[in-house]
Amino acid sequence: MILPRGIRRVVPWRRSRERIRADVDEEIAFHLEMRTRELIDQGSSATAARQQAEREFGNLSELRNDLMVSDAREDRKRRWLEAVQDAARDIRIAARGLARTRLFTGVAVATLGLGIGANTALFSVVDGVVLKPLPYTDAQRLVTASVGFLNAEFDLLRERSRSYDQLAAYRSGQGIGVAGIDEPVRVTGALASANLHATLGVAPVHGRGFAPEHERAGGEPVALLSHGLAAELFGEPAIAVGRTILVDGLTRTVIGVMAPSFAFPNLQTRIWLPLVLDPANAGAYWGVGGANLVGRLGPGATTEQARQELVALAAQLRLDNPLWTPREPYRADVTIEPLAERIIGSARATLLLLLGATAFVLLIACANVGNLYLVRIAARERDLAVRAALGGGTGQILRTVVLEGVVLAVCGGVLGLALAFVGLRALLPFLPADTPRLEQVALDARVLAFALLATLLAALLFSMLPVVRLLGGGLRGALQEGGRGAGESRRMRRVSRAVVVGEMALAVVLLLGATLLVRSLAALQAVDPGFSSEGVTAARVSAASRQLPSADAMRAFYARVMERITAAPGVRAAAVTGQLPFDGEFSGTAAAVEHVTTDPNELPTFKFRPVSPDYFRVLEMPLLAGRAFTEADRADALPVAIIDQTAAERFWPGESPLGRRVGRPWMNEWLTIVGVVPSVRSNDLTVDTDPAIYVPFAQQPQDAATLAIRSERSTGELAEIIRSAVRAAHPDVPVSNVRALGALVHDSVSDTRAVTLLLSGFAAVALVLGALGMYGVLAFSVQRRARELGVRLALGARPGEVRSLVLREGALLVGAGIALGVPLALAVGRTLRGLLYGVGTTDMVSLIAAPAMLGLVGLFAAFLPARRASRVDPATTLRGD
Amino acid sequence: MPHVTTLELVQGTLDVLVLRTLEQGATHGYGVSRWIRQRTKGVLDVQDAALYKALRRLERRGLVRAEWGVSENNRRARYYALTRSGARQLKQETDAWRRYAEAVSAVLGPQAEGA
Repeated sequence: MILPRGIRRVVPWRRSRERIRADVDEEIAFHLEMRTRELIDQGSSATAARQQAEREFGNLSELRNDLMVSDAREDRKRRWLEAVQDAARDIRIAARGLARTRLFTGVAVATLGLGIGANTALFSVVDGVVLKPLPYTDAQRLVTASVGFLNAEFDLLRERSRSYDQLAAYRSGQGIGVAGIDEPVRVTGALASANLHATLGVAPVHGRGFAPEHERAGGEPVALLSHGLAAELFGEPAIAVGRTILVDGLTRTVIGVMAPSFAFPNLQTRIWLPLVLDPANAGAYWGVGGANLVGRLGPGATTEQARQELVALAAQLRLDNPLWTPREPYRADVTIEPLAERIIGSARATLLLLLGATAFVLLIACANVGNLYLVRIAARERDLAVRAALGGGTGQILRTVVLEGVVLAVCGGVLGLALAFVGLRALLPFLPADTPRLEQVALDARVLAFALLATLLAALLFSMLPVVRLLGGGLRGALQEGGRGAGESRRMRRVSRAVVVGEMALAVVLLLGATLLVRSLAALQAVDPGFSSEGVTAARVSAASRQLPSADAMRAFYARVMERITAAPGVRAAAVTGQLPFDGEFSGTAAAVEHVTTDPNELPTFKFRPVSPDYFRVLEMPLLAGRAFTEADRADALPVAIIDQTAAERFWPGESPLGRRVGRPWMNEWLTIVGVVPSVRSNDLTVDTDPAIYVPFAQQPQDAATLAIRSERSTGELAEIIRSAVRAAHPDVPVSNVRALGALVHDSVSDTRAVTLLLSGFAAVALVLGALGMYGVLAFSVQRRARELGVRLALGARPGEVRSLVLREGALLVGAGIALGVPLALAVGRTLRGLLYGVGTTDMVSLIAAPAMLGLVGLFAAFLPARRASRVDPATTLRGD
Repeated sequence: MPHVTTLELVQGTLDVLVLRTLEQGATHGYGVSRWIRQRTKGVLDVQDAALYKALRRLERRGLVRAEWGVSENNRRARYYALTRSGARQLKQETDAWRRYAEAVSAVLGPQAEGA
């Protein structure tokens, strides 16, 4: 059978419900009519035929319903399919259009890729560090107190407080020596109350956690290991459980291994030991502090309730203290804050600042691409206008424009993701080393969603310019204006220039921020730490008290070590000390100053540094008064001290401190001052330190100490010498952190350096993009005005005049950008305050340098089109029409 | 008209019959109904409602395509045509039916011969 003639599509694809109902009715009616006629032809009466036709159908009304439901579904399916096909076709058209103009597409995609990539990479860091919840059960119920507590206070608070489901404590940053498997190593560990892991809601992946008896005196010595440390020590984490290790000279059984993702209180922590709470030992129980609280708030409890309860309980604990009675008000200003707040802390401000900077870069990138796009659409305007006039419809044309924008943005987004993937690896080492939670940073679904959002936002932003223009009469205008010369409307030029001015303003903000940070970094690096770090190598020797049980053992051990090291070739001087400046935390010691300040409640805090005689020679610290320590300052000699200039000026202004005494009379200690040395910074170049007391190492020896060696040999060579010297003195004592002291000082400003580097990079990108934008707009303008410029030149204008015409335009744009940007930069600059040292946010040098930099680069970008304008050949352009 | 026993249709059989009908060429629902009635000489009792539901079912499965056209007597009518996958389906089902029918005949054979 051949298809009946006249079969054709009668019905348009867009059908309403009524249309579907009518069609179903018509189909059934047609069938009934045809069948009735057939039966009549076979001899039935009209009525009988009609009845039989209906009977043959069965349930007519049910059928009608069924067919309608089914047709409506088919209809929806078809419409959806056609929409997809339409979109696919339009995207193909857009892609083909973009492929034809490789330069435009390349520049636009690269620009967008940079912007989206930087944002995506930084967002993944912000997300991991700041936004994601802590990886603990119900983490928003976890809180911490703003100060550390005495062991006893924690123990009693845990017993007495009602605000928490669980209250635990930890002391972090403990340097712990681990030996007994291989080469002894020193790792960072934490002391944890037995319920710490349970409070966080995290159990070990292998073995078990601490039990209450582990935190009591005489409890079984145990340890929990991080996944990484267990793997390093035993190869396979699972087999670590039940094995024993030598921890600071004490044999401990490994009872559990934490998951790789467990990083509490920070990533550096690799071993957890029980915090021992022994009421019988009042000295350790009531005398050792620094226990950080971690509480899981009970149902209904708030941080404010917990705070009030804590203050009230602390008032009782003040009186319970058998060693001394602290002064009132005691712990009245303690606050309770979410644990996340404590862990994320200051990283939030820095990261949000950087994310803000990349957002600026993306904005500038969008502005640039928007301007390019505007030019591109303007060039096709007549073509588009003709299509609109021929019935293409404005909607169809806008659709083309927006789709082209989306295709561009998606290409940029894909490139951006690739850049973010690569960039993130490059970025991580640049971030401040103590940034918390870096282990949470990953390109995951959340980051992909962010990249998608940034992409669509970018598409929306830069497609807006041509869309606004087309809607604002661009299409109609294009047909009316006709000829090429008049093609550029004033409105479009205004929009393009406004966009460039905006770019310039944003670039000024970033430039000023970067300049401030660079100046701050320079100021930091110019700070004199008070000693010479060049050529000095530091090394930590972490002997435990069990390994060196007496003062004599400590003296003997270090004497043997120093003897071997000073005998090594190339070593000019070597010293042993408690801890070197810039090599970790110094604990302050309260001490009395005889005849000046002895009230136990008002004792000043000193840096307390046991040093061997050559210490000042190694660090090249000159003696300002008196003498240095000598080998004669032995344990049985007169206890002596050297103080620093800060102490001398504070306690004996205008007098000589020599012969005066400082000390801790409650320990029967009075030290006679024999010398004065300059003050040094410790750990932080920006902070003036407490006054310092130096004592002879021989008179106050320590088990764990730091070596300082002045030598022309490399750190690597010295490390070998130190290790063999220490091994010879005691086989199980770990040596760690062998580093150039200069590197330690350098690292102390790594946070500022990292932020400065990143922000400067973003500012540079912004500057280049801004200059490109400026160049694009002026070059296009010159091209458009070639005829006018040609006429001017033909009428006798000198090339220099034409050149300055264009340069003036450029200068105007830069000037407007600076005028707009500087107030904005001043407002935004205030967020930098916490990061700056020695530079105010309204630093005049920066306020001049940043705009000047932009002005120079902007004018350079204007110079190229200006030169071209002055070289227009009048004959060619006039003949052009 | 002699009395003939009408048979209830086995599930799925109607779909094959419809596909077979459309193999002749595109036609409307009435055309399908008439052709089945003529070919089976009324032995199969096909309700027209079931027929139309079968057509929709086949359309949803992509075996049949529906389009509006104009009938022999110049009326607007909905025409159904076999799609390529419909033709393929018909061939498979036909082969299956043949084998089924042969198997059943082989069992029923002797008695039927004797009758």
